[in-house]
Amino acid sequence: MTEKSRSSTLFSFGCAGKASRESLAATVVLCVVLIGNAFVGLRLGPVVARWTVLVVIAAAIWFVREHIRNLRQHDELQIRIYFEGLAWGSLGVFLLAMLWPSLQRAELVGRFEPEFVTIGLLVGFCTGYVNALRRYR
Amino acid sequence: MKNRLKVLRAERDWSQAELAGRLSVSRQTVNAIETGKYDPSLPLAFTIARLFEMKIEDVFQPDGAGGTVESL
Repeated sequence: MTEKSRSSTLFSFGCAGKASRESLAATVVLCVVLIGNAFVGLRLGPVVARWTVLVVIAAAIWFVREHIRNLRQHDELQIRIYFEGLAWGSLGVFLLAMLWPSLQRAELVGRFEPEFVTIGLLVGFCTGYVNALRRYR
Repeated sequence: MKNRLKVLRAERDWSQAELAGRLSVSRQTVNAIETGKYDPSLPLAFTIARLFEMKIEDVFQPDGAGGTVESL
């Protein structure tokens, strides 16, 4: 089997080769971000906070690099499924941001918090991804 | 688009995984093409035709009457 087909299990859920490398990257980044945020919250001074943020940014860049490298190993259908997930996530957040002022005026929602973007992207991506995955199964 | 992938694969006694390996794609992609859920890109369609030593139109046929220049 070729490298491409071996890494067929989509994005980080596999246990071989590049997929496990990406899983490792994701875990490391998550740990670095969580520990980094907790560290900054300790108010150890601006110098420590800046260095912590730099480490978090470096870890995030590494993750993006690994993720894109892993993405290039996938075939056209897998990339299509991934893009459908991305479309759901990005369009969902875009529509949410556009509709939010109206919803706010109708007193249905409160302030728009930055975390909503992350949550919206994650929920939208997972919905679109699973939806596409089931369609092509 | 209809295709003869399943028949051609069966003639050679290849599993979906084996064909996927030869095409450098995932088994899921082979299955989706065979069941008509996904139409491959032109480069992949050519790779498939080349693998079976056939013309692309002998592997893939358009659905219905459409697909010929005369029908446009």
